[in-house]
Amino acid sequence: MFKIIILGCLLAFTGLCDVHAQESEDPKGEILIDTRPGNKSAIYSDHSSITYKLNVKSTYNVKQDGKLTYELLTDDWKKVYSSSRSVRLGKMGSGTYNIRIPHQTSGIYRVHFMFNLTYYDDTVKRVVAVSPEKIKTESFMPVDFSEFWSKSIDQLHKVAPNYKVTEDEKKSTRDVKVYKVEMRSYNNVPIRGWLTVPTEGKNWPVIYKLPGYNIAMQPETDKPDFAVFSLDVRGNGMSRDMVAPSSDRYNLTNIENRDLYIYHGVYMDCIRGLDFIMNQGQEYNLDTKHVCAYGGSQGATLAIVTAALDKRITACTFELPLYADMHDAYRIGTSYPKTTWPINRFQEYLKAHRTFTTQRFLSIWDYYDPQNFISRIKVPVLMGVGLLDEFCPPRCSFGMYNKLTTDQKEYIVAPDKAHEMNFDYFMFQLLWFKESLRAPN
Amino acid sequence: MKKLYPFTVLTILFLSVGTHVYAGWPIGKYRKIFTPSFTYYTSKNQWDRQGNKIPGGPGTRFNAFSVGLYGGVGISRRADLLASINVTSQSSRVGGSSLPSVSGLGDATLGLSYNLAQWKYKRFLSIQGTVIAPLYTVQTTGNTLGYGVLGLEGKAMFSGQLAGPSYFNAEAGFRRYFDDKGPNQIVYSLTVGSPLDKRKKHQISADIGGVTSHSANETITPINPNLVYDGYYIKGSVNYGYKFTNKLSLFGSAFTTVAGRNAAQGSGFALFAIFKF
Repeated sequence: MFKIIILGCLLAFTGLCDVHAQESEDPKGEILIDTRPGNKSAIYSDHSSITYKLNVKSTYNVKQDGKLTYELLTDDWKKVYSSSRSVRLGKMGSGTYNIRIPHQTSGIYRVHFMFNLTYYDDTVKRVVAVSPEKIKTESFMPVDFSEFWSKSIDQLHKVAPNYKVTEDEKKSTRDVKVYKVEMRSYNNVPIRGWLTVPTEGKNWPVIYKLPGYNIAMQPETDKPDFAVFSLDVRGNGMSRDMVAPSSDRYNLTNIENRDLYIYHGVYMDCIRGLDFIMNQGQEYNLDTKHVCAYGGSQGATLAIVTAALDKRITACTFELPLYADMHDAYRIGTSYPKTTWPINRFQEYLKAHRTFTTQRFLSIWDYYDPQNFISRIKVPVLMGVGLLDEFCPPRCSFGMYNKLTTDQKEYIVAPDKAHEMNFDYFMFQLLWFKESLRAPN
Repeated sequence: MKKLYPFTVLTILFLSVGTHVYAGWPIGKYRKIFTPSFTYYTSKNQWDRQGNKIPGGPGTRFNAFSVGLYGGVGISRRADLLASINVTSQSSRVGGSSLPSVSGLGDATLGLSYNLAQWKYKRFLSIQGTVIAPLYTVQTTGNTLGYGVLGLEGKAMFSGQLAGPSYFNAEAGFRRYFDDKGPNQIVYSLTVGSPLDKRKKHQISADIGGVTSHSANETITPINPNLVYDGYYIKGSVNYGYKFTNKLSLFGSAFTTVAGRNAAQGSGFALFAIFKF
């Protein structure tokens, strides 16, 4: 009998423990937060409030109370505004919250929505642009900038290109002929690229595509309205005979020497690639009066430099321009809790090479910063910007864009994208290519 | 009373061809489109005022040929300027007797279209206003190559991708001719088409469309299916196109009127080329 009582007590105790364990477990569920900027592209005027509509839906089977705190920060993380409001969500309930933040001066701002609820804590991060056409960035153009590049082009012209063009029959299709193109560039470095030309018709306008960081070029066989010349600059893809840095050290190659820095040759490779289009184009049915420089990320910088240094380019489009306004990009990149690429690579190098100062690094980059080239572009320009981009701070992209002197410039923003653009942008860009290169719709 | 004869059909047919070429999406700034066409049309029967089909008598037949030019220029990303002109020739036999053949310039059109909205650059909503001007005089020639009076047309067009590579164009509008007896017309059409191969070299499409016309003039012109004053007709067509390059395509089209009231019944074919540059 005593054993039974003991057993009963044990069972009762175990049961109590179970009850306590269940009570201490949080209920399961999700909070779905949909943030919609008052302006579709998250671009606001400096005269108007920044507005958001938050649709919040709970899948929890319990009520939740708490607070929504919303903060506005500069793109280098300085808080400029904060406010909060109470939140109450019923079982499986939902709520809509209209947020209004006072108008701000021109710039790029981070908007953080922090939910602190009974069983849920989360922060949704967004970025808005306020009057981006008014963003101004300081220019650090060296006094001998023009002379430096003029001499470089002269040097390039002393190198015989020795073009060699071979059809790659395995890659050619019924609709597109694919050619492998080889040539010699600055310092006699061999570079290569892919030329694709539609088989039917002639006088094809040309998209001159320049590579992103360590992105090997491939033949572009899906553009029936254009010829495409995709160039592997030195150290990239097929062009690694003499210059072959590892991918994570590419932009550090000879960085301490203005004349030997890898981008010196890379920028000249872009001009040499254009020489090929212009000098050999007629043999391959290219319309050399309509050539658009195009690239994304590092390719954006290369497209800008090419269009700036060579007037034979008739249009220029780029998205997510890497390296724009290196001074601010460095400050913004190092303002993150963890320094973002590519600034972290430069920062690591500077830490390991104490005699090479940040100031010296920036003074070398002043020769390569695309914002120092862009005012020379006189042809139509289209730019794409991802507002959440951590590699290419939007403030730097707009600061550079605003230095354009051509009237035929336009930009499109993808508010929910980081280092990429959305489908709508590329649909528009295709129409833009057709317009600027006079290809039929 | 004005003596009104067949060849409005050719103007309308040409507009139809033009629409087929242009549809509702913009030509695009700096770009141009140019479309020469040839059309053959023949008719014999008619629908009476009750909509009954009345066979033409023995020895009665109407034939017409038309050569047209249609052009469009993109003046902005949303606006296009459109124009057309045509030359026609007709011959007819009634009860075995040949009537004098007629030829000359038909109606000229000048229009402006504007793209109001687009959805992901795949579907487009546009409006268009067109002036229709006769390049002939009914009183002096004793014949007509159209209604013979100035007209205005306004229409809305919705077009774009249907599913996969297939496409559509739906349009509806109102046309008014500035005569004391009109006519006033409601015009409408629906086109559905699709490429037949991955390379989009071959394509087929089908149209259905028509005109409902109101006028105090109850004249019927049996030899002309598209000239309708107080009645209606519905016309269907099937089209095949071949794309030589992205700048040149050729199309063939067969059409027939499938229903009507107080209108003639006819059929024919059209050949046209599209040059884009």
